[in-house]
Amino acid sequence: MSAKCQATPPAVGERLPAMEIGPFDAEALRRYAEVSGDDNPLHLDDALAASIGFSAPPVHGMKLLAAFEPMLRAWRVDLELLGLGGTFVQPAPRGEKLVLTGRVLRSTQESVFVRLYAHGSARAPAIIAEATLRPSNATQAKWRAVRVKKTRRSPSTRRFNLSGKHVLITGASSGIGRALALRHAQDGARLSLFGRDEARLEASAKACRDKGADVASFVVDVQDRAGMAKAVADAVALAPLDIVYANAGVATGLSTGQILEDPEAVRATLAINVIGVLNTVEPAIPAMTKRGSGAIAIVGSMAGVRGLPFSPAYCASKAAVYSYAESLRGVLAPHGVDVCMIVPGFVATPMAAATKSWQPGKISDTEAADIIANGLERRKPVIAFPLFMWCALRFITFLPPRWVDAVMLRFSADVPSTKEKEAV
Amino acid sequence: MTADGALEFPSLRVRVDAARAAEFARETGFDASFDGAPSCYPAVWLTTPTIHGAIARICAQADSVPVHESQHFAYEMPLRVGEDYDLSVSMRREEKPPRLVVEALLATLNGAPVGKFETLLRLVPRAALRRDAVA
Repeated sequence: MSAKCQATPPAVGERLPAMEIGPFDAEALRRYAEVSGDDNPLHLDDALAASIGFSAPPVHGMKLLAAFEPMLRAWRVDLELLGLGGTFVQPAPRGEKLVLTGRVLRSTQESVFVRLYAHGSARAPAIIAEATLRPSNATQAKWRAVRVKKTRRSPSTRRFNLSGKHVLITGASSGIGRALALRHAQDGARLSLFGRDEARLEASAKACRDKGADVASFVVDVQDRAGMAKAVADAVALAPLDIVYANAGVATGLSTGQILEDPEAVRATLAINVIGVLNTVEPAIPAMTKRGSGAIAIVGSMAGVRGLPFSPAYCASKAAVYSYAESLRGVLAPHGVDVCMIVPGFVATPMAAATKSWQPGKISDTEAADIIANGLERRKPVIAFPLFMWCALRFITFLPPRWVDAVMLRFSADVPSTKEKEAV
Repeated sequence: MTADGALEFPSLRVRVDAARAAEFARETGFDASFDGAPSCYPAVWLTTPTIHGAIARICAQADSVPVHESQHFAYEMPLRVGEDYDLSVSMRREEKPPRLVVEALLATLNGAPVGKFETLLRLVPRAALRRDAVA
């Protein structure tokens, strides 16, 4: 296998060449125990392993985790390993051959994140690991040069450079909004952060300033149309807007056994999640289209792809903004403004924490912000993650509705009602 | 012992020994031309008598055996062969499920951060092991 030094970052989804390791004999485990100092007899003593129920002593987990590094080096020599970690899911018995595989989950000019697996004969992997890699300065310079060339050659597919941009974010006090603010602060953005809670908004602003960003904060409620129009105008007066995230939102739903959502909560949810988006986007559009550039990103949810019986109003609100974003995209494209619909699955935010349900594919808000920023940089019209959930939800919209309803009801979910009340 | 019950050890002076690093690399699948320090090499420092002894004591008190559940290495700068470093180690217990978390910070002798490592050991009661073996 010959390692590559390439002119571009690895593509998201790229599979690393698989590598076989093992089978290891008792002597190999003894040598590893000696050099590492890990003298746990479980790996060396056949009788002890058998007494615990293993067919053969398991290979040291660390020995297997460490084997990912040569695999990564064989893949790309232009990336240096910044972090390697993994969970030892199940023991890999000595004498078994293992296959190491990997896939690129995130890739930017600055870092590459790879998910790794070590599989033996068992169905489940022995190890699920992750690696963070960084290009050297010389490699980064090479990648940048290629990017500039590509941009000049093909303006229609040019990327949206995020560095130094003026980014407006609503709901920036916590969750995805805060993570987005921090992600853009890292890219040297100028930030206009919108939120209702002055103290929490200021804490977000301070964290961004600590990363070197120029931050203005606006204490305003997205439901307040006049207030939002003024605040957006004030932000535009500071500098032309490049990116607007209509992110502020609340969740509401039904507890187990509850049939009707609290009418106050329903109206408040629609006011914040739908009217709040309009109040954010509408005042920004004239200035952005006049300039002929920029991106509007509307944060929706997987719950907007197909209605779920646990949270009718929330699903309706997210379906509404999904539709709105789709319509707006066609209207604004001729004026040079991108519209991007963000469709997150479960993200570890205070909002998700309140929901008691199975949350498959849940990721941190920082990871979500990275995916969103990377997608925006690539000018994706829809940034949906995780992909399996997006595909599954899209697929089930083609299935018989009553059948899907019945299946959904087999999952239990407890979505607390929002404390928000209808604005009079 | 810190206020939150974590056990902290005085900083240990450690070195990336060239011969041991080469042997570690060989045993973990690096090709013969590799002459650096594997990223997982710090695992060898966690088996020093001070750390290993403390883990053994905690396990004995809990009448449990440690099962390596996860391991993470994160670096600010690459490890250098032949270089000396300061390693600060702390341990804390988690109850549900019973775990021992070993955290280590590696710094240059000037105090510049080099890396952060985390070892998660699941403490499996001996009685459960015996029961499983019988089953």
